Amino acid sequence: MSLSPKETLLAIVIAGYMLIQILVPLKEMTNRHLTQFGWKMFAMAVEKVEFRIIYRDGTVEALPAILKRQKIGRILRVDVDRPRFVPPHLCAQFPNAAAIEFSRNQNSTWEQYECS
Amino acid sequence: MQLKAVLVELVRGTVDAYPVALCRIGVGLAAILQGPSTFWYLQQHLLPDVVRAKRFAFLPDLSPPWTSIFFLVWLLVSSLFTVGFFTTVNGIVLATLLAVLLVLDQNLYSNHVYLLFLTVSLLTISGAGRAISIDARQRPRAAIVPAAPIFLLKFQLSVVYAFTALQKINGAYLAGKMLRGIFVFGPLIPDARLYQAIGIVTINSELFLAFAIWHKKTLPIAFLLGFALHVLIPPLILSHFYTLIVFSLLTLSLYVLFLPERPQSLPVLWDDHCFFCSGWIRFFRTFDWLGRLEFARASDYMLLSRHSISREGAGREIKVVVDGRVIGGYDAVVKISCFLPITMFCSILLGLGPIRAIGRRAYEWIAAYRKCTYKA
Repeated sequence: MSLSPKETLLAIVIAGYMLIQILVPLKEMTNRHLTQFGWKMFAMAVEKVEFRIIYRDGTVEALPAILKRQKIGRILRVDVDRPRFVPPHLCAQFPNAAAIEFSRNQNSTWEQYECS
Repeated sequence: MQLKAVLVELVRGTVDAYPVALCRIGVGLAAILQGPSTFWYLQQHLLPDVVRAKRFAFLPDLSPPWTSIFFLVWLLVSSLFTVGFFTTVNGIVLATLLAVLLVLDQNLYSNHVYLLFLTVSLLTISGAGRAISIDARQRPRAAIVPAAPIFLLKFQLSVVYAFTALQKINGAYLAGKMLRGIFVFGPLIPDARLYQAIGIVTINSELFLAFAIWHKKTLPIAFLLGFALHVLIPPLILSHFYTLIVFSLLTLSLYVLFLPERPQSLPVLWDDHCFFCSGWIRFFRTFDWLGRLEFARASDYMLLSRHSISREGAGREIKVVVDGRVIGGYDAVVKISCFLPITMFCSILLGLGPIRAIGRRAYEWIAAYRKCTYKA
């Protein structure tokens, strides 16, 4: 009844697959918003993130105001990590931007991303 | 000790290749359907107004000519995977294309692309081209596949149901906000209590499915519930109709793997003098994709005597022999339907008390008035 080395390896692979398939969604459960690889199908609300651009001359402009005059910052999926990807996109679109600030879930604290 | 025996059975065991082949066909069709949607996303994610969400900055972009090639190769390999032509090679290419989508950009991710990647990979490893395929016709081999990847496919379905349910246990979902926002009748019926009730039913159903599908006793109800869930959801969430159709097809394809194995085929005896019976038998033959039925004419006296069935009895109604027990008429039709992949979901409905009663009456009436060249 003992397993050969090849069979033992297969058993480890099976156990590893099962462990990954349980641990990854478990980890995603700690995030209260839509994220990927967690089987969060129509399960929760989209994280509300506000963005504003700080120009080199010191003026500040909120993203919704920009969206009224130009098409920018579109995402194809609601579970895209916007705090990670939207600031570099805005920096690339606005060469005179010094930094991008963003706030999660109508939080009063603003995090800053410096444009290089 | 018991766990070790299960493990040994898992790594050494084999399972019938026919259900796996059917699963491969369903998953392949889901991949074909997913193709146009993938092409749209690939084209869109390169537009300048779209936020690039590359998972790994060092990965190169798929430029427009490559997206078209990607789409054409996708359609080709998913079609060949479906019909089972060079199944392993096409499975590897399809799994690679799916992996590219998952690692390239977060905009290209979707839950069904992820599930498609996992199922195509496991089916390819299992050798899903062993039955109902061009490969099997060209190189006939034993119609069995290793048990381990098939177990993982079944496990995967349970994981999807369990976590889909668990992720829904949150304030926004339980308050009905999510469902009201996505349901097609959401703007018409604003009462939150309705969506709260639907939400609770959905969570419980998904949790039930995750476990009930593994048990022989609860399997029929799990099949019925799962079928209802996956048929109802796409028209209820019209904004995601297409993707939900793909997801439903993909998920229901995995159900076939849970069908109990039958070492022996079921003898079906039918009245070969009856035109009406011939029609039914043609239907059963056409859809007996799992090769579970063994058809025998009622004029086969040897077979009749083996199962202690009289010539008159066999001429009166269709008979099926299950575990040595002879079942006839409408009940035989229901039993046979359980073993045909396209009717297995409705066979549970056909077997429900009142429907069974009506069915028996209808069968008896038709049997009495059918046109036969021979009258029992």
